[in-house]
Amino acid sequence: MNKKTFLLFALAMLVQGIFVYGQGQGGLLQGARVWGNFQLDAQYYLPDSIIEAPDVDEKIRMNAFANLNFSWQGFTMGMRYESYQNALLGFDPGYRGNGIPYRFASYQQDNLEVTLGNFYEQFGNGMVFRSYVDHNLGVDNAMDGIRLVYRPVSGVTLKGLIGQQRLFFDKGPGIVRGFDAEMNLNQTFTSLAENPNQWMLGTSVVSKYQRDQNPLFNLPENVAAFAGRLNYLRGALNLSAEYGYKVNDPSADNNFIYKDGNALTMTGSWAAEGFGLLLAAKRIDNMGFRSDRAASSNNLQINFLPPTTRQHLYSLSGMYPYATQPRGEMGLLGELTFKLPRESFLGGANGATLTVNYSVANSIHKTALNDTTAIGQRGTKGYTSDFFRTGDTLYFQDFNAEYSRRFSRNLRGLISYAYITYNQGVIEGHIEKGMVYAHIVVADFTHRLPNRRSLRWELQHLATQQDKGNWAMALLEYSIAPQWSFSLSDQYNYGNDNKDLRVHYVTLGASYSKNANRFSLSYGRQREGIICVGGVCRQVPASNGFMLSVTSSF
Amino acid sequence: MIRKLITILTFLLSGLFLASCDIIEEPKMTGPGHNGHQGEVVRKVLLEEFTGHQCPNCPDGAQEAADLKAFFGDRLVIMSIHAGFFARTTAPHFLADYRTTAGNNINSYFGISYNPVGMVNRAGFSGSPILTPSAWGGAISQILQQEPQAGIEISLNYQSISRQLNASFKTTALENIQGPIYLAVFLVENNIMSPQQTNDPQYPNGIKENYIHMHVLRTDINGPWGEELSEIGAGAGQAFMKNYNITLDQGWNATYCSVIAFVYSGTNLEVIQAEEKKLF
Repeated sequence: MNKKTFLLFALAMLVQGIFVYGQGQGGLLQGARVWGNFQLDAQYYLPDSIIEAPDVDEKIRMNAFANLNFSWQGFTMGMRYESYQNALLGFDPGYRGNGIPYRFASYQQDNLEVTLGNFYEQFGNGMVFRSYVDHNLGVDNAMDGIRLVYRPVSGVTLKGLIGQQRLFFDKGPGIVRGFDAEMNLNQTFTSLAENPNQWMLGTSVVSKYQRDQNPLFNLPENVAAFAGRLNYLRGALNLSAEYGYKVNDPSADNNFIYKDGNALTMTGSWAAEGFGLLLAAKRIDNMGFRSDRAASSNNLQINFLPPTTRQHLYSLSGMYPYATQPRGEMGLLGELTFKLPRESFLGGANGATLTVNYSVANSIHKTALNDTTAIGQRGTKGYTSDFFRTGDTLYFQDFNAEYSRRFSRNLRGLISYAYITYNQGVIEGHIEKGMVYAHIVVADFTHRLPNRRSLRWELQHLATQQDKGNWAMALLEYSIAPQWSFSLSDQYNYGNDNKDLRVHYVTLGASYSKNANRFSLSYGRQREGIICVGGVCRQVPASNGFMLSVTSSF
Repeated sequence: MIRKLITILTFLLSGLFLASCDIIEEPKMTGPGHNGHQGEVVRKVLLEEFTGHQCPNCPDGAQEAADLKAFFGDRLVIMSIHAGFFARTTAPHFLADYRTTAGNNINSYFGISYNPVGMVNRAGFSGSPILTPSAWGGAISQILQQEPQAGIEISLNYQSISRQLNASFKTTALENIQGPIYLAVFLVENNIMSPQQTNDPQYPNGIKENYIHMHVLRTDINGPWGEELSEIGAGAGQAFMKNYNITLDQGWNATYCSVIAFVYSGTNLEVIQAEEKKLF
């Protein structure tokens, strides 16, 4: 079925569905449902040589998409229309033009779910397979093929899939095949149903095929990866671990070395009255896995290597985010959360929450294969690595504490401090840039005003002697719930060594929401930076101009 | 219980057929390739490499291009285009300006936003003509399997004192070619020494001072997009003659200069045939 035929069919189904939906009882497709959403982000770019904003010939650029879905009984159909006119700065220019890159049909019957077309899926933590979309990152590695999900007995889920991954408005050259089995022992075996110890086991195998057309290397055309996982639950205790292994997979990710890859993640959490503990550890060694050996950036990634660092939400504390290093890293994370009781010194009249978090990521230890082969030399096995030994290079370290409290009926606030060590050379790929040591303080307070109004303000400060030096930031946001919000913010790079670059990044914005629709318009400068979600990052160039955003759902 | 276990085991085993993989033993790298044939027109391919001296990953791209050149020899024609953010000049290291009007035009038209990337014959692979270095080899191999559609003969006459270069081109269609066709001619220079940013750990400050730049586009000879040979295509055996004159800039070392010419389709911009000839 080509795209046009599918579109016509889908539209016919949608119209029919809407008709029946409107008719209520007694229609041919009784109970049919239509749902979806729409998002548009557009920017009018103004020249700004001071912040080195790239020239934009089109002046205006826009990203937009709409999802349309239809379901009736066990059947579901859907599609997403996307439009890039042209893609906003910072997004890969491969996103250009219009099209329907995502369409699918699925049905469920007798514990079997069949999906034809595009789909997203994840095995375990995603260590060997994760297909997902994040429009803000410009990531979409949707599969196009067939997926089967079968639940033969209670507590057992089996998944099988085959297809190609999305690459902008096309597909990658590789074929991805995968199988995953997950079993909840307590659900499968009735004798364990009441057991307080809850066990879940899972295993995955994923392989890719890509023709070897490289004239310089003898490349494996089939590459397989395996993973096993375990999850244990008992009351407030939750322990999980996943180990993955990948056979030789020379690619642009690893400079075409033939070493096998492996990864291990372990997390544990425990909560008690007023107290929470989270611990995580991971080790990654050569686990980049894509359906095209030559792919780079966020394109055609088959797997997802989960981060073990905290994702900061404030603009200055998020200035130096960590991106997972698939070539190799060892990481640790620990987080303590305290609910401070009412009427205590720190808890005040209404109680408070204190969170202390620490995370670190280091290189793994690597040893040369022999005296004549450099570590990571392409066309070789690359190196050997002691599993339990960390490397000498610190990639990232973050100690942060956050105190949030409701000070009175009309005032709540948050104060946080973070000390971040950021290896700019490794994380951003510029060896000449060294380590950045940054202290960041944030205060965020919201005053509730009469007539459903509120005033929120933020003060942030980042102190560092490296990179671009010190920053200060202030934000004022006035909201008239539930519809209007107005904001004014300024980020000031007052500590830049270059006095010409001590620039104010002022932004003025307003948004209007009504029911499921939201409109926002802003004007100002956006600083160059990196946006990361879940360890996956996108570089954003500096820009100046008007930004319009519209979101809607139905 | 046993029935459940058998059911689960059956499905688990059925998943194992997906575990296909190839283990590569020695040799992992191939030997040197063929350098084309003597005395006959062979398919040649153009690699346009987008680079910049402030791009730390670009030496890896240049190395890939060099490896491919060593493998494919004369059948691969390389033109390194310095344009965009990474090619800008900055004191004190990056004062050499390798940007050209033609390079800026090509860079802008194809929307190049990061380096190093390249285009192989400006043909689309997986929907895009923009390829990362590790994809260049496969793309070149694919195109070189095709029969040549045209041949280009280059005749050069360079006067060292006046630095005048007269270049003549005879383009011959070897089969019927539909649609408009263009001839584009450029001058490139090899062996230019100047600083280059690098990620090589041997250079802790990230700059290799005595880096040798290869295949650097110096100028277009008949415009960034060349000159139209025919609006309607060409029949087999049809030939087109063109002649151009330029004066070489004093800063260019003619000993290391070459003329690159390629014929491309005005319909989809894909390169039909490429050729290169050194001044000396």
